[in-house]
Amino acid sequence: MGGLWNTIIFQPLLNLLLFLYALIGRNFGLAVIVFTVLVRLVTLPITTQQMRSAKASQDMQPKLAELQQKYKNDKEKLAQEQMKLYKESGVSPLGCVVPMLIQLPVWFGLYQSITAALPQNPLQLLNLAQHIYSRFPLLSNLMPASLIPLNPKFLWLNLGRPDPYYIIPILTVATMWVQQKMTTPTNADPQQKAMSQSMELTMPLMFGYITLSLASGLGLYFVATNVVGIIQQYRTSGLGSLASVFTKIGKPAETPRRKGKSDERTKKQQ
Amino acid sequence: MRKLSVVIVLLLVLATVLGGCAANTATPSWSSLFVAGEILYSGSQVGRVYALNAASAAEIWQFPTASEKSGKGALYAAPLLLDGTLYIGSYDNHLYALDANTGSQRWVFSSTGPIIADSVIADGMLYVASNDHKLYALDAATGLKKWEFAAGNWIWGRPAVAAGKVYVASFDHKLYCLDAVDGSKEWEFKAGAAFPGGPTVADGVVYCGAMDNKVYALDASTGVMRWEFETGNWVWASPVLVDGTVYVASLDKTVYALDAATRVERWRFSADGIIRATPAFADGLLYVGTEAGTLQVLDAANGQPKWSFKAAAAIHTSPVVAGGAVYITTYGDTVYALDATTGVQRWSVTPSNRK
Repeated sequence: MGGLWNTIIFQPLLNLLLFLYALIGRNFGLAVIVFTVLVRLVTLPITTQQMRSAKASQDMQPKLAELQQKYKNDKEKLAQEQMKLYKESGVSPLGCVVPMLIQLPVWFGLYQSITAALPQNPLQLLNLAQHIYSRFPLLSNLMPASLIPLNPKFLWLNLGRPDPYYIIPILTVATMWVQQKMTTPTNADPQQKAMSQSMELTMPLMFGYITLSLASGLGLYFVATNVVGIIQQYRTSGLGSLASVFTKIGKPAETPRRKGKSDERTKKQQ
Repeated sequence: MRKLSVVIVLLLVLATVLGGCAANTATPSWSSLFVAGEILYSGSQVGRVYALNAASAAEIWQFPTASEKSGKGALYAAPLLLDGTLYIGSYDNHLYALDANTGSQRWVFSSTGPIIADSVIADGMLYVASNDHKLYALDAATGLKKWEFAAGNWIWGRPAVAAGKVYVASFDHKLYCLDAVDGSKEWEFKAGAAFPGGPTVADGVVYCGAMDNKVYALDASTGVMRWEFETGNWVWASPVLVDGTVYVASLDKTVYALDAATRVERWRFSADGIIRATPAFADGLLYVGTEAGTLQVLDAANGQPKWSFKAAAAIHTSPVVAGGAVYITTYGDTVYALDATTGVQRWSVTPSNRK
């Protein structure tokens, strides 16, 4: 299983990262950012499907709330009606979970690659030696091994070490919170709403805390992937619940929800 | 609701895995051995130095380094003994000089980076290489610094000293020849990739392996390349030179025996795992430790296997042959003593696990 994982996910991602490093002037920070954007582009169809599904689910919330109110004393009937509604709307209840499951190995692979590419001690270098290709497909005159050890300097960061100024953990928390806020559906059910709100805060803080002690290269990856996710989310379904934040802080919510491509598609279908 | 729960679980799994990695700040290591007379000295992953009776494995003393106290212990470098003092470099940036009989600290030298390379002593000078890119020359008796030389990157390989010169290889792709007295640079040679291991000097030639899969033979006085030989993967182990033959162990799982003058291949042996450690030579036999945990013993004349021993974990460091026994240590710090001729196990012990 480990061998299959290495061959299919880890090694291709690791060597792609090294290839980008060689291509982009041996700047590991830029390589991580380009690497993240590229991987996000490749997984774009999956994430778009996930976002559309999330949005469709979000649009269904008022109807679901109605059903909950209507059948609050009959759980069985409620479940039946909910399923019926999902079916009629063409939305799968697990619509956004399956794409996430597909992407999870890629996330782990990315994480593993960034960690492995910056060996700090002999055991880590020995591990890297066993996963690095002997030649790059397009740059056959360049040995990946000749790039090691990579230059870990990027802006104020040593990407193999935690950020001494905590800027990367703060950016991780902020970008993850924004993305979560844009993704979380507006729930009518108070219990679900409380849970969503708790998640919106807990997950970014948890990742921020983890980033405090991780190599900042990984933090940079978290920030980059969140920023790409935010742009992608905005293009698909607008600001989502983030719009309400702008309203609350007294600023006029510019466009509560950008008219995304999915809206046009839905309109056409109607 | 169920959907949200699944998402929460997935994110928590992700956070736990990432967090687990982050929390694991302790640096693992491979320990190395040194045997002198009846005492075997070993480093350990936890940062503790052990002195054991080489015949019985009974503990004589143990010394906790600063890295052990900080919980980030790791001793990669091999201990080194001279005139009753045991020297060992640590991942905690320090080089410790200990009383070899009692384990008490005599002095300590601080560099500004982890010390991974084995140290070497010649003419009363101790040469210590560090991850701070520097090679330090210290008075072996007092630890006082005589000079330092800055390379362009880490130095993980043991320096070699011969005829008043110090040879040191670095991750900056360069091998340097320095004056042993004042550290001034005599020449440098640039390879196609980093030098992860140290050089070997014999008969006016410097041999060193690199991450471009090659082993180089250079003129020791000028640095001019005499020949190069390409293997199938990185050459991390130091080449071993015996009677006109260079033995090269590579991460391609192969041991090559080359004519030292002409680089003509005499034989090659395919092992069961990658070979990181420098092989040991004694009495016509070559002792080779592999990542698969096998100690493979070969006839140095023709590469024929004599016997092998399977340990429970990877062998990353050089076997030591002394007093009719061969000693190996594996990942996880288990030390084995085997009969050097037959491979029969005499004892094994994991010093850090002893109550």
